[in-house]
Amino acid sequence: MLMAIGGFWRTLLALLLMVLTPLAHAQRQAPEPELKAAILVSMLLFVDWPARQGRSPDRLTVCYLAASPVSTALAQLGGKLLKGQPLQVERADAAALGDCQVLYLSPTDASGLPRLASSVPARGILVVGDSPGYLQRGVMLNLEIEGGRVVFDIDLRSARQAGLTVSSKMLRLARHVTE
Amino acid sequence: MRSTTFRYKCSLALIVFCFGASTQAGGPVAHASELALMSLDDLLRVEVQGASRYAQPLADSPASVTVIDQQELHRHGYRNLAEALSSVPGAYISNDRNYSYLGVRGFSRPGDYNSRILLLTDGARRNDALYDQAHIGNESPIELDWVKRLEFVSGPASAIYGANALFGIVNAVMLDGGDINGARFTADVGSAGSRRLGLLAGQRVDSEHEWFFALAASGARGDDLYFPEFDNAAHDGWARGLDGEAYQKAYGKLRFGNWRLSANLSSRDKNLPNAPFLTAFGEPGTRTVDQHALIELAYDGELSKGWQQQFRLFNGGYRYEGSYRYADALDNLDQGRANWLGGDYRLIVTTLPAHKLMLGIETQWNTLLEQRNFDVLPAVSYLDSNRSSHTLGAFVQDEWRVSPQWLLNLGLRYDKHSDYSAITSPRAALIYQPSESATLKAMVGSAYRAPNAYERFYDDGGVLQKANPALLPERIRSVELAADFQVGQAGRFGVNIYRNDVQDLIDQVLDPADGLLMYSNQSHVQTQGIDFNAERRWDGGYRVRGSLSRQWSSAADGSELGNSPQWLGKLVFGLPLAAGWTLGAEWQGMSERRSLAGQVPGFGVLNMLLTSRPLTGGGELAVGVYNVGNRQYLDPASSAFTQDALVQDGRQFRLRWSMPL
Repeated sequence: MLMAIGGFWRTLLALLLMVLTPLAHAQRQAPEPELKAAILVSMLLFVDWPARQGRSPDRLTVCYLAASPVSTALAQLGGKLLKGQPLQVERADAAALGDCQVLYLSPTDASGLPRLASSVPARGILVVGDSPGYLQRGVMLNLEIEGGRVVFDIDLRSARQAGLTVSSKMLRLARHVTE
Repeated sequence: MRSTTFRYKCSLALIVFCFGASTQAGGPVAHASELALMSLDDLLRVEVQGASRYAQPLADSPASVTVIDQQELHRHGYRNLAEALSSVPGAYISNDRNYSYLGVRGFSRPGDYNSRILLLTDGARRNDALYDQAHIGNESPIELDWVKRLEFVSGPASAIYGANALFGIVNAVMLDGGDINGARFTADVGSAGSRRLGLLAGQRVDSEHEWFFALAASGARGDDLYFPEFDNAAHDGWARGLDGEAYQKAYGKLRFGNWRLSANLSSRDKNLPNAPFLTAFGEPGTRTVDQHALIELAYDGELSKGWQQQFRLFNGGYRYEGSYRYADALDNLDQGRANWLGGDYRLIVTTLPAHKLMLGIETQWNTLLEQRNFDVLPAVSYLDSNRSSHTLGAFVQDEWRVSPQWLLNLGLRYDKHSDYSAITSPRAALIYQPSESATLKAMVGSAYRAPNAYERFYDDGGVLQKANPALLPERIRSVELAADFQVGQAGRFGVNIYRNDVQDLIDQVLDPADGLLMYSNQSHVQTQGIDFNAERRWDGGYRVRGSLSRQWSSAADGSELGNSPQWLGKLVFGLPLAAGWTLGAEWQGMSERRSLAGQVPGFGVLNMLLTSRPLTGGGELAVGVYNVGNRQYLDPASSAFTQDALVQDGRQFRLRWSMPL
């Protein structure tokens, strides 16, 4: 059934080493705000927005309310092309979010969250954050750090209510999916 | 004797070869412009600079869980699962120079082969079907450096996992290809002529495909050991060159989307220096070989419309061969072979608001449970038994979020073993989180274990042990209160109070009528106690984790249980040193324990590991010193031994060199 043979192991080890040597990657590191910003932006590839009148389809707008390390890092990614649309990152007023497709809430926005939830239009805005507990407070996609890496949770129910479609590929990468 | 099968000439050539091919340094910092070009898969694997790797306490779990993360496993140089598990609050390890035994909360019965602990790798059951043994020492089917996270769940968990989960579950979360993305080679040399080579390789090809592969081989000559019990007219008490050990292990895992195929093979050969089962002392030829095989196909579906399915099919094998050398060159062979196959299915339903329902069914056919015992020359057979069995289990668990602060977890499991009537095991846990920084839990649960084929049918022909086919399952009932508090950003403190009551405990006893050992059901046994544990991490890599446990045990007659220390203390810490070097150390102490015939004194042992900063080329050197104070300490022995207690290893060294390829 399973009996091991000394010579077999040796040969296998040698063969495997030869096969594997071209693979060379070491564990990379990155500063937290830049990494989170890059993750948030690359996630937008897996989200589809409902077609809607009056919104310019030629760009993808990410809004933030207060300046924070992550929003600064997001702003630096402005101009990047996502599915052919340039990314536009802008500071917005909580009362006027009409042009936003993505709203990033920083940890300092916590106090305004309940009020904000009522002012966010019901459809078409993906609300993202990176603060523990935000998912329970209306944020649809929330980043956290676990084991030294960034993980994310998705509230699929609220994303669907907003008319957003999240691809299954992204759901698979999520730590928790709330439905 | 076979001891070291490894050919070091060949290995040396490989090392040179690896050097030539090595390329990249470890841990480079990626800049924003590079990050913008990376895929989501890759970004999620990038480490956050300076983040605390504090393992999240599993607040929602209906049990007390200790998590040892990869960093801690790596920084302490634990050589096997047993060494890592001995840092868990309330857990302790004993060793008889063949297997390692895990005691939990005062419970470690002599003659019990870890059958009350459930060992899982990636959630798959690894106890063999014949002895129900969880192998956690070098004999384990897996190596510790293949493990990403080690979880220990204390308390009865049968409501989910079925048999064997009486005192706890060890779940080794194995590395995935994406955790390696390349290959890593390690070479060790250490005390007692020990050498080891290991290779890990893996890659996350894309979000749907991933592979991981690991190999390890080790050989050790072993030290000369002195046993005063054999210092007599016939012997001088020294067992010279009789403690050798060799093992080879392989593990592989492939993931295609939601499907995962994994396979594991291992073989360990250990010479026994301490003359168990009345074998001849000081003579080579008494040894055991333990071999494991497992192949598993698992499907882990996505949560869709509130439903999630998981299922698994597996086929496992285990083979044990004990060669026992008796006086007058009489060789006795003791063999056990097991083969099993089975499957499980789980359905997670979250359609009801505030409820997470889990339903599951599992079944296992133990198609081969063969035990043989015979003398080679003259050929005499004492035992030839093969009693196959079958188990079926079904369970339901509801995680009911009553309010944002209150969680009620209710579980019920039904189990049917082909030889016994059905058993139902309930469990309930009430979890209260008054704030983000505090968790209070009250848990009650019961678990059971049917006697295994070894305990029921093993009979060595009237030498030491006889069968007891009438053996009944044992049950445990457990009550636990736990409180866990977050202190600041990076600290926590916890207290657990528990009581375990075991009914019909399956225990090895001496039948006074014929002087033979047998397993029989004992009346009530109880342990109760309290554990305090705390941990804290600081910026810059300083960390400390400690625990103190007090435990009281009593058998039916009111006496204290054997191998049941009243006090256990542990301190695990990590310090960054100058020039990128780090120090990981742990101290463990326990109070005196009862042995079969007397007392074994208490002791404290300190282990240390010094890890270098990354070398040019991304490699790393680590120097481990185990039992720094060269403390002489003993573990109580089972009745297989003439000795009442067995001396443990003194100071040992190990040098490890690891290298990304």
